[in-house]
Amino acid sequence: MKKILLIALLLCFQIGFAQVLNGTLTVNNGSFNITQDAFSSVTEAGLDDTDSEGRIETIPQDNLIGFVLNDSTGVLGAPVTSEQNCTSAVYLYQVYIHTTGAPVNAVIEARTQTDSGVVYPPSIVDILNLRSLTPNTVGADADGYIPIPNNASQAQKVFEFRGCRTDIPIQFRVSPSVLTPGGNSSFQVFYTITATIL
Amino acid sequence: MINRTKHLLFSLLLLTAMFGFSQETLNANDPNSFVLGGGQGNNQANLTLIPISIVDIEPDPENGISFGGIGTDLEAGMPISGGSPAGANEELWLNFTHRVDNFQPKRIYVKSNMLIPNGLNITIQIINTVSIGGNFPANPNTNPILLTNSDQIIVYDFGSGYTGDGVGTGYQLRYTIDNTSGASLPVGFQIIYSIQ
Repeated sequence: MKKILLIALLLCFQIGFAQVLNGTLTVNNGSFNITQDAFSSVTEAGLDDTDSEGRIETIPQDNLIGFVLNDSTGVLGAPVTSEQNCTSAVYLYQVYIHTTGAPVNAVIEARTQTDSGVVYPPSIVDILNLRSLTPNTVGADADGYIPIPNNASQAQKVFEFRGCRTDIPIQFRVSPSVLTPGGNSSFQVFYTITATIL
Repeated sequence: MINRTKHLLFSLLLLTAMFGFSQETLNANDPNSFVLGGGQGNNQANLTLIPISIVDIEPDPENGISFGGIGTDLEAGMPISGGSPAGANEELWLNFTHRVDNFQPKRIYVKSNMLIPNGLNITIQIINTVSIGGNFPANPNTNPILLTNSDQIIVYDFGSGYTGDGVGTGYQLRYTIDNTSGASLPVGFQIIYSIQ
């Protein structure tokens, strides 16, 4: 019995503290635009803009992120490329998003699609779909959008994926109120990725 | 001893599950949450929102009103008048939705689209302000306004807001007509509200 307990304890330590290879998050495109037009604004006097059907959506390709493992050094000091690391090591990555400086009274949401993006390296044939991407459904609406908080301490999980992946499209939707100031403004979108050994 | 072992195993199982399952939110201010094998990055979103100015008289679209010239209280020697308090119309409500552009306050103006015949006076007055499902800074001109074909202020300076939609919310209007000459309004006569 003591042996069983010891094995279980070691398993916990292994899961919790085993070394995860370092990687690099890439956020493509320095900025992206969210532009309202007459078709995506309220048309009935007396209603708020958030009541309108045509909320503002970005084009998915406008905002791409990726995460690949870094080059490293092997046991005998030999260099190991990012591609080799990504081929041999598969971790679970969870992507949390929050904003700073978002306009007042505007609801900002984000989503991606199942298995969107590109498995890295592309030469991997993932027949068993072991390197999947899964959008988070908790708190998502029927369209898959999840509200993004303007609060770093409450970054919202939007999706998770297994293994290295690039060019993951993230689509944003903004529902502004008429109380949201008109004209041009900008805010920052933060992507935080955590890694877990599978 | 067996029970104790079971409890220990159960606790370890929960601990293992805790590592395996994810949480819905994360404190992204804490680097410890992502520094091991994870990462953080950001980009900028540029938002452009258009200014919005929509005004409406409810009930819509049936917001035409009539003041009959042949009343049952007509008296020989007295003018034909729809302007008595009892004949006033208080069924119309002004709704608006407005998003300020460049922090410039706006006003709501009222005018007729054509000249009003001599001897016929139309007066419009805001008599009530209500917000049902709305959120707006109220600043009505509560004085009676004698309608002309030139803009007159019926709501003073205001910022972004929305009154709520429909009858019973926004600004309630009272229309009165004093028709001493028995004139008729020309075909196509309209009263126009605008946000400027």
